[in-house]
Amino acid sequence: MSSARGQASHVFAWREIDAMVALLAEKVRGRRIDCIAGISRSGLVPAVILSHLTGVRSFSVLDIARTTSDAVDSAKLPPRCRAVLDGAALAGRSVLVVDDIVGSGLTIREAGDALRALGATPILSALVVNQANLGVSRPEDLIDHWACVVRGWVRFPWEAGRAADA
Amino acid sequence: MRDALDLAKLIVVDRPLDPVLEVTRYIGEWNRRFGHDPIFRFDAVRGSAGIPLVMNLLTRETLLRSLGVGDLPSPLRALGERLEAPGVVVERGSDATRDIAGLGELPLLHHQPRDAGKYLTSFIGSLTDPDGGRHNLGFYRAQVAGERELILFADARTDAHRIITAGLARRDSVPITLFNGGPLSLYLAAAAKIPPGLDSFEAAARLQGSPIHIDCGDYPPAPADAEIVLHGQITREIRDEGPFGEFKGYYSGTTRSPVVRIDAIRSRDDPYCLGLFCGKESGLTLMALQNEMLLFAHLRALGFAVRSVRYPLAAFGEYAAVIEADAPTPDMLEAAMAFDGRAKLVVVAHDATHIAKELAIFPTDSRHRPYIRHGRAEGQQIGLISARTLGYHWTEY
Repeated sequence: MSSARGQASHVFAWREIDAMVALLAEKVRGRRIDCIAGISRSGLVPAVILSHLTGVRSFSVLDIARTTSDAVDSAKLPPRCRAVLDGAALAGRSVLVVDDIVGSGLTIREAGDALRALGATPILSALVVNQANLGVSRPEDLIDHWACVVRGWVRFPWEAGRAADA
Repeated sequence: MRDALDLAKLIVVDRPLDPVLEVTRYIGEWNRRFGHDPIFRFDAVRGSAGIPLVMNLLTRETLLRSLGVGDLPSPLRALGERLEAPGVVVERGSDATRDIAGLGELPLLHHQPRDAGKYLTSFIGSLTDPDGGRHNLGFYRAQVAGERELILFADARTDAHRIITAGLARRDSVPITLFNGGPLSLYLAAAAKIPPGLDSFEAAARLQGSPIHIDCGDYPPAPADAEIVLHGQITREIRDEGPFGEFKGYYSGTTRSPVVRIDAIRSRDDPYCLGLFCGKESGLTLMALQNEMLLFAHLRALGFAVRSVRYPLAAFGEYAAVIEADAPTPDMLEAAMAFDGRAKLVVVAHDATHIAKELAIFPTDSRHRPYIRHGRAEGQQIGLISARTLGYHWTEY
């Protein structure tokens, strides 16, 4: 299966999401995490699951718009953090940032910058890294934890047009 | 293999795991917990000099997509047609130029608790037939016996056994190359019973429909883009090999097999090591796919209009064949049974998706004959045919 730009596309099922979030939880075990922050919108899904898995009930939301529509290969905007839920309360705290996918890395970098500006210490994570679009040579140069790497476009089970799957 | 990695969803496990049982336990626990077997990349197998270990790569989807037939309506037909056309093999230098001191630097696994030790399960053995000079590829159990020593088991029924026996009758040792990585068509060719007289590398070139690049030298060839290449000599020294957890779920016995002395181990600058967990989906898929490809091509060559052939993984990809055809005939069934005597059960039906319904509704016929295992009759090989001779429309709910 290929996308309009000729890259392979990868369809994820819910059971794969469950497994990848569990792997992220395993990877952050032992680290100090005071709060989990999901990047709105799609980062919220794994962030909420991770919050339950790790027992970290303190939760925040980073409102960062990136795409102009929900279409495949949608045009992207320069990411800008418009709001951080309870941002003032994050100063001095270790915040695990969760997104669904990292491509160029601009969004997660913006999230990290926004949290540092609030005096928080961000730990950056994502379920999936798309190495085809990665803006750096290695994922570890950009984020701290990830569960899966692909080269190509990704469809998550919560996206419109996806049938409910196992 | 790099193409296949680019197409894969790679689950990255970066915490250190011990090669002795811990990696395979991790894979097993993941399956029990989440109900599926993803493609794993283990980045920190202890002692492995940082070479990532890739497990479960050889799924049906990955293999077919890697061969460029994944999106075709009948991949088996495409592979069968490719197998009939000439293949091109081109020589060039190897990408594997980095010297590795010993086998201990590779992420080789001790898979099952009662295995005799670490094994190479996914390295392909390359031998040159002293009679005719053809190259033969195959999968052989190779138990790690030292930093530069293996004990190699080749079943007495294989071409490899014949080549090794003939070679050792003429000289003190037989050169062998064991490689990991390279085009996945080589994995299919190594697993397949390719037509007699056909060079394995050419068979792989035919299957992938494009040239295979190989590195030739003093040893049998390896693909030029292999990740890891071992060159060595099969000696006349015989030692105990095994036991080893077999794909059918029991342990093999101990064999008396020849020692391989490793002369050189080389890798690419940024190698991956592909692993196979015996009896799991990855290895079984390889077995099933080559069986499907060969039986499909055979039946089509005889003029039977088969639509598909499947060897279910539940029967280890070998022991049951399910053939679909618009007009199943007893001749078709008998030809399939005669071609693959290893399949205990052969079913021919119009629609294998609803095989239970097919067998329940339509006239059924059967064939049987002695099932031969290791040269002795052991039960019966059974053939079933469901002849959909009437117009029929399923009830729509």
